[in-house]
Amino acid sequence: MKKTISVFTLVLCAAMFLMFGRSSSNAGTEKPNTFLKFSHKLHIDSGAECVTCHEEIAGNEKLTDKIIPGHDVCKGCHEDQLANNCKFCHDSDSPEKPSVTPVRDLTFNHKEHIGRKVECITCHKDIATVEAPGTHVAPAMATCVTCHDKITAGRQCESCHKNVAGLFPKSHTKGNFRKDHSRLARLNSYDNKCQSCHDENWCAQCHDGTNLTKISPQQKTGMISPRTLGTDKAKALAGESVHDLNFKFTHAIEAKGKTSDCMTCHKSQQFCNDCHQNGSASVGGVLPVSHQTVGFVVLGGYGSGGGRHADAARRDIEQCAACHDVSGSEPACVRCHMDSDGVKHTNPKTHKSGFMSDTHGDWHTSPGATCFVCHTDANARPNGVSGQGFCGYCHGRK
Amino acid sequence: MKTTLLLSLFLISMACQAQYLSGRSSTSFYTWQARETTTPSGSSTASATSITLARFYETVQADVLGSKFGFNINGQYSRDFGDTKDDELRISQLTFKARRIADVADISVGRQFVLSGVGSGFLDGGVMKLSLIDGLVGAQAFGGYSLIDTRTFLFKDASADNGFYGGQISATPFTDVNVEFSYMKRSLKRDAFNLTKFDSLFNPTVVVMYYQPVEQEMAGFDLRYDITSGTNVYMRTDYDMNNERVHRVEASGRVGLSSSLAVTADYMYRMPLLQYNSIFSVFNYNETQEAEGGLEYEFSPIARAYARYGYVKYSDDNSGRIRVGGTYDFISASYSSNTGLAGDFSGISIQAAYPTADRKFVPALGFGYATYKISADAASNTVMNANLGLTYRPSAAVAADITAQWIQNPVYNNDVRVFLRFSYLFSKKLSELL
Repeated sequence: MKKTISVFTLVLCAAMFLMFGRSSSNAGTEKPNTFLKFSHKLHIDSGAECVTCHEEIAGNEKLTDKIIPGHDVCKGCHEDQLANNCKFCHDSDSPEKPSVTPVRDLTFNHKEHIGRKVECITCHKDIATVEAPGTHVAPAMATCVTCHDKITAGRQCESCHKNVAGLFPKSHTKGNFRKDHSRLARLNSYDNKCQSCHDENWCAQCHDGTNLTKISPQQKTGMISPRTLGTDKAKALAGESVHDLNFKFTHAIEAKGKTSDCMTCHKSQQFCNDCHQNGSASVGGVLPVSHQTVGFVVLGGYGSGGGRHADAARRDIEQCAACHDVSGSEPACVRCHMDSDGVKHTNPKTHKSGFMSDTHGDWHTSPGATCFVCHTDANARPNGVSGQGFCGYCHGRK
Repeated sequence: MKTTLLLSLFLISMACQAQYLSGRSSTSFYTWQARETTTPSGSSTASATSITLARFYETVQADVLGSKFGFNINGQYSRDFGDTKDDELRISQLTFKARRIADVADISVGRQFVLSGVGSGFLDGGVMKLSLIDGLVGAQAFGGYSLIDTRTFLFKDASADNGFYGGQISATPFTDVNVEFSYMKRSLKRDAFNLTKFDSLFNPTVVVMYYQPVEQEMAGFDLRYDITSGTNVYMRTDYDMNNERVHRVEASGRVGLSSSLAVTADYMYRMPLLQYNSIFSVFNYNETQEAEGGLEYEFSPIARAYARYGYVKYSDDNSGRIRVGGTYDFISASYSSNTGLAGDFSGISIQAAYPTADRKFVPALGFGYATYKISADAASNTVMNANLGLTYRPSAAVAADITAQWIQNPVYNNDVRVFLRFSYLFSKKLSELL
């Protein structure tokens, strides 16, 4: 225990160091140059071309490079005005603040775009109306994705965003987004919203729970599942798959407590059996502790109550089905819950009173109907004799 | 024949309109020692041995898209180079698409993940989507075969016994109000099994039982209203058409009390999800009801905390759960607790990453500790895990990761695993590539 606490303390200290020892992911958010006076509108109306001022833009490869023109460029047209009048551009006569190039969490290459004959106005749509300097001359992402639609140009987050770890919309940080994302998906939001960032493969990266990974003929595991995600989310970087590394030991609590909806991803009839093997330890499966205690099954026939397994089934039958309702295996329950004589109240109680009494079900026509797994008397068949055995439960016993 | 057909479709789709190739690939190695329980022939006692696994994975996800046609693939091949030599291929997406037909319809054929209200999951088949009235109304229909396993090749489970079809209509009747109606029917083939039957004199006879495929037939309705950016309400109802009863009702809401503080509330009524033809559907069973309430606080755009309490009511018992946690930038920590019928669980989890040097290096660490007791009559156990990793990303397109994991649990006293991954993203106009 001491060791545990030491390890935990060490990790916590490291986390705290990281937490307070670094600047935040939002550091470097752009701030407009409010101490300058400049009107793009005025210049464009006067007939100035973009390259007249931004003369080196065609060679610019990084947003961190200074792309705001300096004095020398301005003097090209405004030599007289700038001679002794700082206030012509600056907000004071003794400007102390240098023009700064904002630190941006984005990658952008002007040279490549200009080389592909993309006009400035294609991205800087409203530039001809902008009258003050500031970052609002930078295009919004909605403008970028008009071309970066995965047809004209690619749309992978890393192509533009440096900080992928902190890159998610506000909606993802509100409420329980793990729950909420499934609700949004049901409302067809994938087509409307999600796909602006996520492609169609995204869902499968977590939801491919169709089976565990086989690691040997006897053993399967919910082991690590390498993904192609390019995010820097801590959990993804930990190399974990959807669940924690020790989830195998605690998953029953999550399932019973309805913390997760296992069947969103897993098909219980194929999935659980990989380990639980129809609940039989004799074939190498894992037998739950509850099944090994006295009183779990009481073999007393009709009216005995059946023991605690019957209570458990009435309470949460999904737990039973998870291991016992397996394709290709005999459901354990039919060993006792059978009716071979067609006589009421001689076998363990199974159905609610009046079960299916008002339904004309498939047992009338199909020999493969589920009923005939347990009801095995000679008259348990389609077109049986009215009033006898299985048929007699509903059709007038004589 | 199938391969030829698929290849032809692929080439046709590329030749016709495809313009852009983008995707990701990753090559990973994962190595650890595993406990193997074996029962030697002639012995009734199982013995534990240790095997070494060194598993290799190649994962590829790629889209070839044009304005009218497209092709998507997402697959993974893995093989153990350790003691078992086991290998497997998974294909979770392999689709051919006709896009923007008459500017309103998309059709995709192949293996895909369907999201269609009450009908969701993997499908080998076709999906048609319509987007009408500037996207205010959407409709989709899908049909094909439900997938048992993504390890299988396309249409391997094609059989009427594995049918999966349905549809959805979604709409935005008013600003920030979304509704959907959906329907699905899914069958799943079951393998035959040997059943020992007894006659009235208890004479046993072994017979082979052929089940009808298990079935689900459901209809769903969802409604969501985003009143403000922080306040919303949501309602969902699923109706079980086979059993002619409501299967699930869900209602939830989030109310922003201020720009920083919000409360959440959830309620759920749920009947067990049992397929109609499953033998378990004939037993006498009950619903569960669940309520959860929570508080959220946003200290700053990068620092948030939450606390939630959930209560689950079974017919004659209950269980509770508590979740408390927070995130600060790239760090998250949480405490979880379960009590009652679900079992006892108490655990913490911390995950942290630290992008540095313009994201060239991202060290990450994680720690988890929990004590648990599966049920009242089970023994109490402790599990722990920790991981330490580093990502090196020399450019936006290339990354290398190494992660060491340490695990302690009732099976492994001191287990160390190593995970290595090299990933690459690509994005290229086909005309520049060819």
